[in-house]
Amino acid sequence: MTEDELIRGCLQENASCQKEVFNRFASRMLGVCNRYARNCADAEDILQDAFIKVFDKIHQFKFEGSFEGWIRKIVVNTALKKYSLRRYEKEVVGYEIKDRDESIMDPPAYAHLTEKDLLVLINNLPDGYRLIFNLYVIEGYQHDEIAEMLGIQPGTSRSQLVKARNMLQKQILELQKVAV
Amino acid sequence: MKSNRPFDEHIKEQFGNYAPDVHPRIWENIIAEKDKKKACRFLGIDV
Repeated sequence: MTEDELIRGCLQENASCQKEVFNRFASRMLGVCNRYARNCADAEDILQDAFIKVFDKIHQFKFEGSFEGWIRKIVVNTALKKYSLRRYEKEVVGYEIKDRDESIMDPPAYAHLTEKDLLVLINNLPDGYRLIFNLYVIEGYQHDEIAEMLGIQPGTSRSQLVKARNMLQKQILELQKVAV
Repeated sequence: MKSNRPFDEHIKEQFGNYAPDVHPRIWENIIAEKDKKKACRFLGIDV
């Protein structure tokens, strides 16, 4: 079945088309959820809620652009809502990280890290850091877009990204110390 | 001048094809939620 046929089936609430859409995209979308979530249970909740929205809102898909991209946007927005609130600006972290204290890490320090290692480190970030890091580094949004999505100032997005990177790099250095 | 771009790119690359297994329970939950919404709509209850 082509993607267009599947979408038209979903528009008619055809259960087998809905299941096929889920089967085609759920795995990659769970990958997205895992990056945004604090843990696996939250990631599965986000995936579930997002696919319910996909089927509820499928009539809003205009057959313009990628269907997977449209689903991904719903998944990301569902994750943002889960951890939303205007609390990023005041988020408390265990230790102080300065906005401008951006250390640059050399590639040998992290080149060996796989997606599984990185996922653990990203999941450990405070909510605001994690969301902004994902939106900027992986999704490719700019700070003004992130600010609008999260209802924060672009400067907050910038400083939280710096803090997120610093925290990730500190965690990587700590891992290396343990390994030695 | 050094930048953090290689660090960011490494992370982005690692997640490029990341697609973990999905537990069948999730689809079952979606079906159950859809059925619940259908029943509520039939009964005229806001969901």
